[in-house]
Amino acid sequence: MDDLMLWMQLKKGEHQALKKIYDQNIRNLENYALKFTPDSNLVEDTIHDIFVQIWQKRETLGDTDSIIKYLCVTLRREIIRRIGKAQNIVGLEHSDHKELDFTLSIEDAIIQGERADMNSKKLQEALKSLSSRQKEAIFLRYYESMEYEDICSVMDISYQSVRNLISKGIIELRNQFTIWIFVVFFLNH
Amino acid sequence: MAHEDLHKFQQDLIQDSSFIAWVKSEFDIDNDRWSVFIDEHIEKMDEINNAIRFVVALDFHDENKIDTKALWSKIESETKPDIKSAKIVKFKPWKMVAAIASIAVAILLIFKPLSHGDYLKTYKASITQRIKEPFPDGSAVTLNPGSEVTFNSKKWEQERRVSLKGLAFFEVRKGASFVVETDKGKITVLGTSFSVDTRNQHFEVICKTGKVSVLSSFGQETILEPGGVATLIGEHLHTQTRPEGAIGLVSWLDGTFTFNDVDYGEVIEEIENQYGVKVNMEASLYTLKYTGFFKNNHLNDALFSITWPLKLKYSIKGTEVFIVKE
Repeated sequence: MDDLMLWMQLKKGEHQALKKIYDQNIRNLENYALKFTPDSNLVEDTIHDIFVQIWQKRETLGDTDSIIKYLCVTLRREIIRRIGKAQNIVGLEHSDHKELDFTLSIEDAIIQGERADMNSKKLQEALKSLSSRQKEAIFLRYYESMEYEDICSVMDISYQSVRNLISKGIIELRNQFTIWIFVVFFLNH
Repeated sequence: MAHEDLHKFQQDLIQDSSFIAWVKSEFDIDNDRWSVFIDEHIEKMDEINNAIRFVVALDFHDENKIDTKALWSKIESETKPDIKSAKIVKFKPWKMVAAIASIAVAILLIFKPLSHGDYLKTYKASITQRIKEPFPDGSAVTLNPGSEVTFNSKKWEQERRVSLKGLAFFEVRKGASFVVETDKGKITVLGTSFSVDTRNQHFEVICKTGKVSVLSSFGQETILEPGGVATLIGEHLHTQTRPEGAIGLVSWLDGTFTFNDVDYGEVIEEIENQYGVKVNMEASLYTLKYTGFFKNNHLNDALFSITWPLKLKYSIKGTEVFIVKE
């Protein structure tokens, strides 16, 4: 079933649809939110409230062709608002959240054996050199598999900005990565 | 080719939606398109491999911190309109009589048609073939190529007992105990589904539903709940739990063969089993360690999946496959 159909069922009040949406997206939402804050209680509460709200407001919800996009937009706005409140920063959700760090780490790189460690470390270092917004865009693109258009909506920035953020970020990461592959190749031969 | 062009080639791949989807779906989505692409750009295999490695490495999955079941219960209790407390049904005496009567009838039916004599039956899946076969009570077994089970069809109603060689998945109807005997251990269940792997001197049992009791040939016993995996390591039966809904709990059923730090020779044996080919390679490659997976739909894809991580190359000539170092 595609997102459009599932969303329609939700709007019609089928509780199963809510459950399905939850099951399909919970891990992705959790992972996204945890990049803004390590506080898993805050993340859990926010996700809880979002799902309860979606259900309560189901009849007035707009249409969406990408449920994960809809949820990410809502989650992002809400989590930034709550972090801002906790840290006493007014209007953080409207700024480009320079004050907030988007933390990316690579814990499950699935590359072979001891290479996994080397690989993680190298990328880890390279990731540190990127800006929060670059990291967030790359995360949405490569972890959530989002299209550029959807990333625009979630991050509330222009198409060209998204492309630039990702392009430059990837080039930076890849330079590190390629150097690393070259070194490993050298050591192995 | 100029250095910059190669970079551009790789950069374009890394940023291509379909390419990302293909790699992230473990080479499933848009696979036909990318198989063709690789054939057409075989001279740029290194660049393609690096792009794959790069996308694979960009997996920002954190350790899960939320108990999704508990959270859902909370959400459900606040959203579901019609959760009522369960009704208590009083057991009526006449129902008891009916139950006893039906049990009596059932016992009569079971003992009446029994006759003597052994009727040993064997289901065997030949090379390249995966089969699903029924037992007399409607329980079933799915056999991986080259695996076999034997059981006594006449005595089935008295005792549900099968002996297994190889890799099999059992779906057991509720009833008296169901026993699977293997060289390395014995598995006893009531009604459940589980997978047993005895290939290459392994002994691994995965419980998918219900409860499974595993007794190793060294006398150690363990009870598995859904998601539980028991593996014989040396003489010790090691148990662990895989998270519910984990991809590929019994992945070979879906045609995905996963390997965790095993000798490359075992991977090759499974390839030969699944596709009926003969693989030729240098002896030293058999003891390489491999972690990864392949899918059993296309030989080309499977060979690609198991060679690129180890920097190996393959070629196919009829039913023979040659694997060499790059």
